[in-house]
Amino acid sequence: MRRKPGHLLPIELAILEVGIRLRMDGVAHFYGFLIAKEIKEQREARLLTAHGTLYKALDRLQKAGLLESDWEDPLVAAQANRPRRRLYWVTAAGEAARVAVGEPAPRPVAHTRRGLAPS
Amino acid sequence: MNAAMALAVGMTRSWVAVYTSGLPRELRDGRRAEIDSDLWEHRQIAELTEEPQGETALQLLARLVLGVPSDLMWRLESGHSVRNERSISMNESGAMRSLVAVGVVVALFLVVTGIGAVVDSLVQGDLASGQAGFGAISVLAGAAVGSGLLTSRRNPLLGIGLVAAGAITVAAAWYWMLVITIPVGIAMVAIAFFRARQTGWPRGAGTA
Repeated sequence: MRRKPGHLLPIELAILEVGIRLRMDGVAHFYGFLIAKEIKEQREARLLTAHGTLYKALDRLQKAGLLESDWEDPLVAAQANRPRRRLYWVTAAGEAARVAVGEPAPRPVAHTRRGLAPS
Repeated sequence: MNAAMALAVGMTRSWVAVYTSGLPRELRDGRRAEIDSDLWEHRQIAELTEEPQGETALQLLARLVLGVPSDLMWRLESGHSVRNERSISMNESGAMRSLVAVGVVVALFLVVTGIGAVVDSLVQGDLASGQAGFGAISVLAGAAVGSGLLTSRRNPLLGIGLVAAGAITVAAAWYWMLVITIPVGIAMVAIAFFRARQTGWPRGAGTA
């Protein structure tokens, strides 16, 4: 599937927006399920983003240099007694790409994240 | 974890294992670990919010089904980039691509009808009936045929084996439709075989 350089799909734009907003809220990194949950709340959708759609979009954004990722320290995951998370963050290019689309900057939003904040 | 949840988690993991098979270890293990983490987080938040397990299972199934086209596209793109990195320069003919596309559509039909049968039995609350098991078998068989067709060029033995296993399973499960399932199954295996042959297999090429 070839797309025009710089063109972002709605899901990709949503990921960048949520990623930037989370950082403004003090959450430096995000992971797949967290972003799906945030997008669901933002869109007031009934369903979380499908696995395939979400992780393919994250992969594309990373290949385009708009996101970077790294696996969580195994010790941190072991201490929390859960599988390791792949942590993502929006790059400067990602922020520029979102601005180029002409969307307004996301505002910090107060959230209650029970047990979801990266530990 | 109740039966519906175990089924939904198992189906998701199985599907991920199928469509990532044949990829380089780093790519394959990365995607599997990421989906595992997602499944864990999803169940954890459902537990915290006291969401009924049946509802969470349906959500997981919906996330699986709705993501299948993207999973297949990701698999195709990843397969292409891996092939490019390995400098396999032989181009696939347009006719072969069309045949593979038809085969993948047949496989998707099996996956979708199978998931429909499972979801229906979940909604009816009748997991004990044969319908859920029949649906799960159809999903696995469809996933095996689809992923086998897609991997047959890079990993001929695995690809042809998966297609054959899926085709035999479908023929056995839908035994009253042998007149249709046997020729279609043979055609699927033939597509995988001739697709593999285009890479020069079995003389060593494509046996990565």
